[in-house]
Amino acid sequence: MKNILRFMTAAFVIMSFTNVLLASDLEKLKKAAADIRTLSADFIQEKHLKILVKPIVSKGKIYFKAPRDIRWEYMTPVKSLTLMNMSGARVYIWSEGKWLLDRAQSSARGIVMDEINNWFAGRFEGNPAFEYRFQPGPAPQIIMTPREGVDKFISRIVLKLSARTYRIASVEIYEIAENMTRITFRNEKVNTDISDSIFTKP
Amino acid sequence: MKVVLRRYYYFFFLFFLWTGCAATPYRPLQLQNAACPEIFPAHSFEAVQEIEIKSAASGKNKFIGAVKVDPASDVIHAVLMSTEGVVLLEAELNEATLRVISVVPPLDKNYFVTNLMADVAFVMLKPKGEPSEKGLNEDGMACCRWRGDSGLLTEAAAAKDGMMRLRHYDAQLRVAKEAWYAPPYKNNMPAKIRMQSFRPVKYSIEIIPLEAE
Repeated sequence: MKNILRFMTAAFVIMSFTNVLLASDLEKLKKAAADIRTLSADFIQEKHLKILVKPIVSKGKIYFKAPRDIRWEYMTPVKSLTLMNMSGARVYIWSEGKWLLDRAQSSARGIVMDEINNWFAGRFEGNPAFEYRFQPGPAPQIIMTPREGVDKFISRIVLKLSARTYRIASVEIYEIAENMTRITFRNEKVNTDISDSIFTKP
Repeated sequence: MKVVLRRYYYFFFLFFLWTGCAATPYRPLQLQNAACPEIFPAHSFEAVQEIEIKSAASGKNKFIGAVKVDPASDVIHAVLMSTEGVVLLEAELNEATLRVISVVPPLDKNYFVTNLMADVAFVMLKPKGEPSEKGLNEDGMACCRWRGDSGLLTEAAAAKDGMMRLRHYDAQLRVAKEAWYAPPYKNNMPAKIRMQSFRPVKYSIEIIPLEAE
């Protein structure tokens, strides 16, 4: 009986401590997100496919301007571009030396870009597509588990945060078919002036 | 006069456009024991490719493709991704058995996966067995033909400037599909593959290998 009581007390202390950490770290995350007016960064994306020995490595650049503007551009190996602004999302493919609007992909991409926008803005509550769990510690991370529908394709998304700035340092997307995508951000620049045309012109 | 010239201009423009798009018809080979063009890697390989699909219905779409091919056992495992790396479909074709591992709507409709895997097999796999005909085609280039089930005829031919050509003829000996392989070859993969489907649906696929091993 004494042992059970001891265990329950210890468990209660650990849980309370975790909750305190969780609340304060989440606040740090939200504060870090709220302070961002603009953000630009380079990114490296590694696509790990079960059938390939080596990952497919893509490189690109991302621009964000609060509250909703995003430019997500892949430079290599295949050029492509998504622009998100108040009028919605537009996807472009690079073909024969010029940007070509891909109308078919544009409408669906808006949903994905809204999700990315939520991450940058630190909004995780009330998400219809994912449940989230905050894991504090020296390498804090947010683990997002898809709700019904998305769970047919994605098993989880892990947002790894910088312990220093509490901004997103990398994103890992685990798919059902044992494939995984890791996007790592580098050369971050926060609150610099970014022209509006970056988000409207390809 | 100007109107007449303009009419001629349009006539020749349309004629050249038509002849440029059309495939030359089936012609008998000058049979001889020539070596078959080596279009297909004999060993297993994996490759990552940039893929551009053009059709009248959906315009121009670009993707990234990854394939693992084992010619010895006739197994192809293919992944089609958006240019951002989102997996749109993953499937394995083991001889004639198709296993769809994942597919994102609306690609799960209208036999898209079945047709795409048939195209991948057409472009990447050597026809089974020994050729039924070997010889020279009308251009005097080495050419081999394999007669398959339901009257389908597959033809592999060498072409000018180091190009290679692969064809499917239907039961009426009309060109159903054609693929051109452009040099230089690196790790057994050509610099570019351009596949064109003529029937039952017209579309083209351009494949540029990004990595191959």
